[in-house]
Amino acid sequence: MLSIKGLHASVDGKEILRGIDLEIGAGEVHAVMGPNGSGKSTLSNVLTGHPAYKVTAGSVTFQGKDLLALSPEERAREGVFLSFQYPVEIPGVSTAYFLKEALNAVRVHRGLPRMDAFDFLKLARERLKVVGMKEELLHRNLNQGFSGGEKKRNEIFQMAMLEPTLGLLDETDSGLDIDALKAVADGVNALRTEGRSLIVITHYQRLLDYIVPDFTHVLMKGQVVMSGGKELALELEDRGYAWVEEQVNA
Amino acid sequence: MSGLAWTRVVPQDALSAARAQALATFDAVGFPTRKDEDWKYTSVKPILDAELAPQGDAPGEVFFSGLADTPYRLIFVDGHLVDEALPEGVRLVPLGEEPRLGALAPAEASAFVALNTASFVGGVGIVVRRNATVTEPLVVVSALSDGETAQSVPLRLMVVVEDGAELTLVEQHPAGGAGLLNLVTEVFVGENAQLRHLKVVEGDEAFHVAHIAASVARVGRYLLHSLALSGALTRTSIRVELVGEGAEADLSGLFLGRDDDRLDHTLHITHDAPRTRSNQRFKGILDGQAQGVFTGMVQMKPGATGADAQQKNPNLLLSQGAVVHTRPQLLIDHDDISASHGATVGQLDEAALFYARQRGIDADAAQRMLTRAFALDVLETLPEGSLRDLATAQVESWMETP
Repeated sequence: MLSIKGLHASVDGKEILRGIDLEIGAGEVHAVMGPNGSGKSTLSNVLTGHPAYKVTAGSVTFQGKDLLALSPEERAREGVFLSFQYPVEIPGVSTAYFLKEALNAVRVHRGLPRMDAFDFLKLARERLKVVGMKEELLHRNLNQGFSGGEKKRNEIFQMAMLEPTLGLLDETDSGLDIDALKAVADGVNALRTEGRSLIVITHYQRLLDYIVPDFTHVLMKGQVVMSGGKELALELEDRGYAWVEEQVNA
Repeated sequence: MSGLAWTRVVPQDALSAARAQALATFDAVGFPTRKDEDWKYTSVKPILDAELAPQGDAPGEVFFSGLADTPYRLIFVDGHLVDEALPEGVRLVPLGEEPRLGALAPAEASAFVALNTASFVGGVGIVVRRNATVTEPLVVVSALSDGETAQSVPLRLMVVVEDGAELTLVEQHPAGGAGLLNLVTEVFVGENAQLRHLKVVEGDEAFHVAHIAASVARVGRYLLHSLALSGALTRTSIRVELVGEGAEADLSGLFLGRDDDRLDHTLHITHDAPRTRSNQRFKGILDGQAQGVFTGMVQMKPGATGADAQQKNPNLLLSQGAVVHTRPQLLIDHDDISASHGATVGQLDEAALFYARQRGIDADAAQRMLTRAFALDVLETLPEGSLRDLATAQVESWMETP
């Protein structure tokens, strides 16, 4: 479903990704782990088309399409969703208004009719339950004054509404206490379906106790240096990134 | 000088002496130049170059809409009152007999005030009777016609809200005319009285130079919302004197400019009495080659113990060519006050734009969404209902105009 080949990318003229190769099949959950500065967040920014990141070599094919040729909004409409590490606050725009605009942009692209306010609210109430989010937050300005946990729940709630084919979860566990982490993980697990693939980007193994991956990859200095199953994440937790470095250099 | 014949018109009436004096004041000071602090960033040259005719004897033809739901109104066309319907508790007084004329806006205030005083005909005083609470807004429309010769139209208003009374005044300046409207409004807010004043200038090729001078008595409230929506030259100067203990001025506004628009808000607030409060919240959004000016001066007099003044002027520039000059100024004669101000100039938040696009919203729609949110935030100071809806519709209509 997603095929990344020899991907190089830079930001502000500095090369961060130095030849990434990854194959993600339909319905698979891949964990991408790595120390700070290894290029984890750059990978999600490049896949979603952040204008500050320049792809200098390589290709990304998503469901047979050249993903890198598409604008950020086109990628989103094609079904690529990013749960942001730092969700943005937007004063003056309610969560409901924002998400209804987004949902209708996606629906129109998929050949579905626009959803009116009534049907939107009905669907939203149903999906709020997936992440245990309060309805009151729908009517507040997007992410403004939300706690860290509320922001992350709101990301997963948006994923539940937009029903992407590929979900990228960028450090979704950062800043969460264990209860919030469990709630967010429950939400993510409820969204695991046969056709939906997930890339779970995380520094720590903790999140992977709750969102159990099919595959684990270790990113270092902009390359995938090690791949394995879910046990690799546990081994990393035990032995640390220094161990990977030794293995790679050996 | 023939193009400036409109500056030499002095009607012969009960006010002749005051008019002659005002004209002498104008002759002594002349039109403001960029050396005048109050006009540092706004040139009056386009007005002087415009070859305006003096005000005509009769109103021209105008077309505007949006008054169907307005039971109470005063409609001026080219400075002539053509329609009036007043609510209970409100009466009109002729200005020729009004001793307070010029008390807040003396000819010395500016060249335009001097010329207005020298030449206005047919302005009115709007008086709200003591303790009268007028629930329906009184709408004052001032339209300029778009005839063969563009005129200079001086219009003079006075609003007196007597002790304990309450009024909502909606002042509308519809687009579509030509020439200059030189408007002077003197506002007296009595003890424990309230005036809510929504002023909307739908800009066009016409010049709009307005001078509002208000005085607020003990625990009175003056709530002004000023919207400048484009305009070749829209200048709104606002002077408020908080003369009674506990008097309040809450002033907010939006200036939205594109193309070659010139929009200027210049405010002077004087705290004369203890525990007076003022709040200024003005936002600018400028696109194209537009230029915006915000000058907000607050003066704290020695008697203003425990006074509080807040001021904010965030601005959004949507193009490389757009400019905003923002000048917060605070003059304090003593320490026992609290005050804060904040002025910012920025572009749309790139992170917010990307966030919206990542959700499938296209770049243009995301930009419109964020710009709209930035603007409408100011209107939240208006009470929910018809007034806020009117202002929101005006702003949205500006945004939807390409």
